[in-house]
Amino acid sequence: MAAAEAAPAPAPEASDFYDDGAGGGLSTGRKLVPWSSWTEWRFVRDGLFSPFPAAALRRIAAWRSRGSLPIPVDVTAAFVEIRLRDPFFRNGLAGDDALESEEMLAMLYSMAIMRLVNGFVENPYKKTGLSISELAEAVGIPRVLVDIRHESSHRSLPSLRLLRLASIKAFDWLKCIYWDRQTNSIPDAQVELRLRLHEIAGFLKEKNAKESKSGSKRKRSEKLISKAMKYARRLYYACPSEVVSVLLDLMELDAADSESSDVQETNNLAANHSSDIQLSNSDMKTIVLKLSEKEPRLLLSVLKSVVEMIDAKEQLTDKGESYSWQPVGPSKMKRLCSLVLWLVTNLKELKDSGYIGLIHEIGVLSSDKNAIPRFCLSKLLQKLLNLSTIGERCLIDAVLLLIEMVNDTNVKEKLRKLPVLCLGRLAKSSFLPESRTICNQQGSVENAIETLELFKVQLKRQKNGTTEGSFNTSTPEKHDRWSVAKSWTPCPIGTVPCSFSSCAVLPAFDVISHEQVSTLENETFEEVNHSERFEPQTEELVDESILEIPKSSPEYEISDVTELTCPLKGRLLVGGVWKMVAEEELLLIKSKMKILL
Amino acid sequence: MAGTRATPTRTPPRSSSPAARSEVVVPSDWACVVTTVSSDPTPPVVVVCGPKNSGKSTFSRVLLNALLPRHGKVGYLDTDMGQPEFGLPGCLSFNVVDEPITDLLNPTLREAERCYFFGDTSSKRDPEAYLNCLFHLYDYFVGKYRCDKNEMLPLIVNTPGWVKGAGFDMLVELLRYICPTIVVQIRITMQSKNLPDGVFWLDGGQTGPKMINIGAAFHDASNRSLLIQKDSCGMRERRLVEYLKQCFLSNISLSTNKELAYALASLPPYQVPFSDVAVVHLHCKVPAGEVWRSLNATIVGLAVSNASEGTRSIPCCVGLGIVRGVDIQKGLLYVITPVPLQRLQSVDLLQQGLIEIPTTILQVRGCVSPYMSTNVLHKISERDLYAG
Repeated sequence: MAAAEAAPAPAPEASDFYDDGAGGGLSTGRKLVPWSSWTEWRFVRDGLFSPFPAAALRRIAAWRSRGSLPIPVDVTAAFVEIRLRDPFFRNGLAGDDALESEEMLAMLYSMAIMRLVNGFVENPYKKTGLSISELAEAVGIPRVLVDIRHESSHRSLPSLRLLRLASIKAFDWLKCIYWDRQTNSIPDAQVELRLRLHEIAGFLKEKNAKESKSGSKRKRSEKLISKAMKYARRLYYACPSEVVSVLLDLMELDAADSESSDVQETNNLAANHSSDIQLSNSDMKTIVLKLSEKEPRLLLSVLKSVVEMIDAKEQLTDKGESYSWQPVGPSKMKRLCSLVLWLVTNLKELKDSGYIGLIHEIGVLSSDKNAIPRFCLSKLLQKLLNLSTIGERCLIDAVLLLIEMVNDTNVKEKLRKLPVLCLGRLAKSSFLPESRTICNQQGSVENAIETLELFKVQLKRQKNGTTEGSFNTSTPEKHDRWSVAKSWTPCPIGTVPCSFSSCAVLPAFDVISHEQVSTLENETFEEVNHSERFEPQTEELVDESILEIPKSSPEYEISDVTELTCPLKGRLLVGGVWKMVAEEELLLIKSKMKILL
Repeated sequence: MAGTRATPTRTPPRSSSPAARSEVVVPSDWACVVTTVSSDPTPPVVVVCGPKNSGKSTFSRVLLNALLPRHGKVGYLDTDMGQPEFGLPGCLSFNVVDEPITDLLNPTLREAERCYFFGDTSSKRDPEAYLNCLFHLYDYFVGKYRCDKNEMLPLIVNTPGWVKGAGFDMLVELLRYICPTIVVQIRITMQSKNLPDGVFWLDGGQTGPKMINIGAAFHDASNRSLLIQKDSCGMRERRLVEYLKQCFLSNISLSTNKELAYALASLPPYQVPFSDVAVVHLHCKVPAGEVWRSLNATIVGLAVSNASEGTRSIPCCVGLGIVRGVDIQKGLLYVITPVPLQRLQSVDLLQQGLIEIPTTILQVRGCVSPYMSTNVLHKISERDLYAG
């Protein structure tokens, strides 16, 4: 690891670093930890050593409940918490939680120190029979801590002055022996991967140059490539999301994006330093393709990230922070869209050549781990159709390819009837706004169907509630709390499947603020409130999106073509065709819906 | 979808015992005691106690088999949460057994008639809650199986081997509450580890039950008690793995842990909205904003809150599950458990204790849980010590 960082060795020697993980940065052994990523661990570390450790302490409380909390983390948290109570460390900040009793503070400090010393030496003490102080010396625990442990357990309580001093020493020691050492041994997958990718690119160049030359040298570089590939795959197993982000980073999506190029540069710094070989876009594509031969799911993961990037860009546009006609936006958007097409094309190729199997439902013990359930592609399709950038030609082509893959004649027929896909073939910029609207419409119809279903369920619940008394804890079996999750794709325990690709994602825990969680908890059994909250919103959606035009995005408000903003007024999508519907007909449909409900 | 799940049935006992004790030879003093106890026409309430590894569970199994022919059914109070006889780690359970135990050396998994999730393998964290659970289970047994004179069941209470300090105090409380008709004390040759002789839980003057002292299960050549050291941590992990295998139909072969790990990762889990379940942390306090983070990829007790039975009742546990994922946006928890869907519908409480998830099911190539990390700094090992 140290060697790898210190010297970007010439290509041939570099292969020595990743021999079975010996020096490659990734350790082979795994251990159960209470944090879900090193990012989370760093968040806690930075919090503990900052003036505002409250959030970090809360996180450690969560870790403690999970078990497997390392002793140094536990004890560091204890010291931080005691200091928060100690007026000496609070810099005169008066507060309710300050502890004025010196006796109590002394006890807290002594206990924390005792736990520190025992936590580090108790196990070896039992095994070796050496004395505590001998062991402490071997481990490097400051002597004063060992003395305080002895003093406070067998003699009188040490003075608070001494304990404060000792606590500073203990804190520093913990930082050095645990926090700093652990920081240094966290593998940097990004740096590692960049290094490997540059190597691979180098070998590829070498190989191409030698194409005409003797076979033995070519074989050698082929061997080196496959070795580097193997390592890249290991990295992908260990931290898929980081690998994908590096791959995308190196694809130079931001080349023309002056805004973010600064950030980009710093990110690329390591890579630029580590190798003279610049990775071209085509190099990257070759590498991604090579990787995906072995790991077909990689394409889906990359696709997921790209779609998310498009989504994020769109949201920015919607917020009005940057407009699509500004020179910065479209070029990147175009790049992203063409990347989507490229990925889908290759996905289809992999499917056609049998690398990826398409199946209906994943069996529990499916032998084919590269199989993708059909519903994943459908979801992906839906996601793409919901993007407002769907007008981009590349995206339309990608969508058509996906439809072909799914081979769902029903969807195909319906979509063919939508003007956008036909128009898309001969897309001219002037038609785009209209086709976008229709696509938005398509999206909102789908949304409306979903909300309608939700509405139905809510209504059903409510009915149950009114007929059989109010919802509370005394009647817990009125509806099905539990159900089997639908459209599940295999993913590691602790992750959930992404909503539109079959990749595993770590849950985003920070979406809901603390207040919301506490209200959720308070209302645990108040089903009535719950459904009431949903109701008005659903009605609004049903009305607006099916019977009228959806809210127009700010983009269209600026353009003064009123005709185009609501070309579908009074129309309803029936069997995939937009038909004019009269007021009475709508009322009829509405009443029928009620019957349905 | 429901068809892919097996209803929990009795799985055949594991024949591969870690200890090399293939044959059980019941010691002569044991056989004698078992005959005396089982020949009593009135169904007895027997408490078996003694230091750890002395053979309490083995004796209880032998006794259970001996009581079955006369009484047809035998009640069994499983109070050792570290090494439960029929239940899961961290659980206190009451069972009614109607078939003899075939494997006298190893515990078997059985669905309990009533079960409480204590959430730890030792009662030391919360003696009060532990005793409370125990008393409730005993009251349940008395209410259901001891009221009708004609249909009384015998009861065997197997106790934990913690017989010193707070463990002794809890044993005394237990004996005082249950008032057994027979107490069997297993004594080993090392006297200091034994319980006091006689009716140690009663004050003088009271008439006690029948006290029977017996020796340990195994002896060495010079007739000293041989204590069988068990890898209790490994046993607990194996038990959980065995339990989780019940999520799948028996025709699916899951011989290796890797296969099980992959099967668990692909199994469509149960989902439940946040709003439909309350979360309780049994042994620590977790800030509100951190609840889901604390639950993800951990083992929870699936409990029914029984609010109708009054505030003093303890939530009944129907089984254990793994919170395999949390979706904050959708407000859903995903749980893997062998408990059938119909039974789950009454579950409105998730209890998190300190029962650790077996790491074997968290790692399989391509499906490694994010909580299994590489490059974790190890504790200071002996090697480090001697190197320094």
